[in-house]
This record gives sequence, structure tokens and C-alpha cells, in this order.
Amino acid sequence: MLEVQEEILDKITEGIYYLLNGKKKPQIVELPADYPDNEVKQVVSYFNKLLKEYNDFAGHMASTSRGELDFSDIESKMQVVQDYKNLRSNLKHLTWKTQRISQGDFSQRIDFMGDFSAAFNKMTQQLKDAFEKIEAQNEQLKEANQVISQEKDKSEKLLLNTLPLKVVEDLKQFGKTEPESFDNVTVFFSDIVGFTNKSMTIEPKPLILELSKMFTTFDDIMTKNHCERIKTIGDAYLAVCGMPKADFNHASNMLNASISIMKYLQARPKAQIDWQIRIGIHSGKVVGGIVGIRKYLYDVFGDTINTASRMESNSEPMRINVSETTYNLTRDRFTFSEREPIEVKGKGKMKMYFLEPYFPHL
Amino acid sequence: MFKEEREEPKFDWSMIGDVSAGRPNLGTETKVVVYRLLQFVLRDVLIRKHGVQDTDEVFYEAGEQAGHEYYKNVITHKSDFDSFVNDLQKTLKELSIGILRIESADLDNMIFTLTVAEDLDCSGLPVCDEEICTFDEGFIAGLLSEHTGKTFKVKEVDCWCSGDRVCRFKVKPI
Repeated sequence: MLEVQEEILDKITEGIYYLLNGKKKPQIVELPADYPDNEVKQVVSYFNKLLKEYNDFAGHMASTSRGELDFSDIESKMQVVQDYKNLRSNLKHLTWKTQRISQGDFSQRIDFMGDFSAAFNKMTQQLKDAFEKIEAQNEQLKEANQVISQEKDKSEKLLLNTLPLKVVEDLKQFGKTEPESFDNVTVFFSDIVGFTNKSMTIEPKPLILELSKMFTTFDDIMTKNHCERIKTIGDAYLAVCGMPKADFNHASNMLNASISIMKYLQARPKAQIDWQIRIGIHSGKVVGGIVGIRKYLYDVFGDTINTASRMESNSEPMRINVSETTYNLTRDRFTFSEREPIEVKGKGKMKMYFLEPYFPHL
Repeated sequence: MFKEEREEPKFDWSMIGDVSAGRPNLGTETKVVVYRLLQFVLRDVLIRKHGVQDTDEVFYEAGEQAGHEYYKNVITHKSDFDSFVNDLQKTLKELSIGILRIESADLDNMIFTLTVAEDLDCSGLPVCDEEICTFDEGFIAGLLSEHTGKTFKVKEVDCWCSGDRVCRFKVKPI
């Protein structure tokens, strides 16, 4: 008859009790080394194996419940462990799939996981749709920004056609620009000789086109010589050098521009209308600023402008008449012929000079 | 063609033939039992004539060649690893070969753990403490080798036959 020690049965009972009631971790049952090799030893051996595999499994389950999926393999053939390994495998697979989706691969799908597959795949599809929608909106936004940028460029170009660069930059940066006084400016005035009479014999449209073509060339010449056109008033053309950006060579620049304009008019094909102009130039202090708040117009003011206008009106066809001030600024670099002092309204007699010898045939 | 002596592989995908034309009534599909009958009877004869180790080598090598051919003839999305795996999962499902899942993929070191559930080779076989999917091992090695240009060793660590629910394969470069 097999003898069973009560103590061994108690230990096995205690272990099973702990196991069933979730109490403290059950301990294996240890038998003396010389314990006979009988059925009791076999029961204890299987009990201990069950406990070990259960404890391993419980440890893995606890880790999984904390979201830890990377741990060593579990050795057990128990059905519950195999199912657990399958569950863990699915969770790891889901992690891998989710990582792919997070990297932008919305083609990932889950199969054969019941309702979870359907929910996961629906979520992925919705993510894909939302992502594509955002992409499309971004593309539209990009296109809109391009249009805005192009329109902004157009506006700026338009502004630059009517206002000096510095004034445009002030308006862009501060929304306004203050009138400013410039001490060293050379002013150019020109007028077409006999324009009124000639204009009566030409149709308005070709007349405007003719003026536009001529003044466009004047503009190009002025820009090339660092000068800037302020405005045209009918057939008159007003330009400055030395403002808004100061220029040490303002007087020389303007004389060079004037010479180029004369050369341009001389070189025009004879078949075209033979425009002749008078040029007057004076240097001095000028105030510049925006006039008006709706239709921006940059204009220049001061006695220097009036004097330049007087120089023009006292000039002769196809001649460049400069004031004494401009003459003194440039006489080392240009050749002049002094004229008899001329009476100027409100100023008395003024000394004037013709720029020579560019037009000896006149 | 099929029965020529050979030193080099001569298999070509065309050897599978035009199944639709040849089986207008029975169709292109058959039962798992037929596949397993072929595989395990073949294994039986090979083991008797050449032993277990040589038989396993034959199955591994055949699987490897099948993996290369499958990649070349069945897989269409090959631009990157994710696309390839996606396509592989899709085609393995469509052909009822198994449900492939990725447990882990270390692309820097080319170390992977893959599982195949409902595997054509073994799912449902009697549990016998053996990892039986030697053909699958070679098949996975061939597929990955064709995709990456590297050589891999694939070892099945869990199998339905050894008591698991899925077949688990550890993949390492050689």
C-alpha cells in the first residue's frame, strides 16, 4: 500500500489553493533527495512542472498586459499558452502594421481578426481619405499662394512704375511714407518745341503712341544713368537724380542722360515726326513725397523745380540749358558755352550755360 | 522537359501549364488533402530512400526554388519591403496558402520573425513534437533572397505539429 505523507498533500493543496484564489505565488513542492521513485513522486513532479509553466505564463501575461511585447519565448505545450502565443503574435503583427501606416503606407490591411479587422481596416481607410483630402487642400492652398504671389508681384511692378523704389518699400513695410527733403538733387525739364501746333495735324491715337514711345525711351535712358522720371505733363518730361537715394554724381548723371536723349532724337529715322525738344537743368534742394491717399502720386516740390523749369523755357530747340549751380558742379567734366545773363521772372538776371559741343550742326 | 536528367534547375513557370484550359470542368483549384497527400507520401519515400536529413534538405531546397519562382511570377509590388510584404500577404491569402504575419522586422540587420497561420503544410496535423514545415522554411528564404539579393537561413521554431497555433519562423542573413 502506497504511503502518502500528509505534509506533501498539504503543500500540494496549498499550492492549488493559491493558484485558484490568486493569492501569493505558489511554491513548488520539494521532496527529500532519497524519496522513493513512486506515484507520489510522479504526482509532485507533474505538479511542479505545471506550477513552473503556469508561473512563466503568468509572468508573460503580466508583461503583455503592460503592453510589453518584446520578451523571450515561452516554453510550454499547454493549450492556453499556445493560444496566448497566438494572441501575442497578433499583437506584434498589429504593432508592425500600425508602424507601416504611421509611415504613410495606407494600403496596409488586417485579415482574419474578427470585428477588429473590420474596424482597423475602416480606420485605415478613413485615415487615407483624410490624408488625401489634406494633401488636396494643401495643393489648392499652394496654387492659391502662387496666384497671390503672382498678383503681388504684378502690384509691386505697377507701383514701381509710378513710385520710386524706396517709397514702395516704405509703403510695404510701414504702410506710409513721409515727405523728405533732399539737398543735392539735379532736376531735368524738357518740353517739345511747337507741340501744340504739331499735335493739331496728327490723330490723337498715333500722337499718344508717338509720345509713349519717345517717353519710354527717355525712361530707359534715365534708368540707365541712375536718374528717375517723376512725371510727364502733356509733352513736358520731369526727371530727377540724387533722390530718394543720394547720389554724389547726380549732376553728371543727369547731363549724360540729357546727351543720350538728344542723340536718340537725332538718330530717329527721318520718316518719323521730327520732334525737337528744349532741355533745362538745375541742381539744388528738393522735397519729395506722396500726394493724395487714394491715387498715389509721388511728386517733387521746391524752388529747384521752378528754376529747372525756367532753364527749360529759356533753352533753345535741341539744346541743353543748365543753371550756374549745375555748371559749377560739372564744369570739370563737360564743356559749356556761357550765355548772356537772362532775366528770369521773380529771380532777376541769371547766368546760364549751353552744354557743348554735342550738336555743332545746330 | 519534365524527365530530363539535369545538373542545374530547369523549372520554368510555364511547366505549371494552362490549368484553366486543361481542366474546364474541374477548375483550377483542389483540396488541401491532395497537396498533403503528395507532400507526405513523397516525404515518406524520400526518407526511406535517403534518410530524414537528406529529405529535409530536398524539401528546403525545393521550397527555396519555389520562393524565387513565386517572387518572379506572382509578386507584383516589389518597390520596397512594405509593398512586397503586403503583396505577399495578399497573394498567400488568395491562393489559400496561409495567413502571413510579421511579428518583427529589423530591416537594418535583416532579421525577421514571421508567422503563418492556417498553414497549407501543417495546420491540423497530429501534434508530434516536430517542426514539419521545411518546405516553408526554404520558400521564405527564397522569397526574401530574391527581394533583397542576400542569402538567408530560415528556421521554424514553432509549428502546429509541435503544439503551437501558428508556425513561427526566425529569419537571419547568412
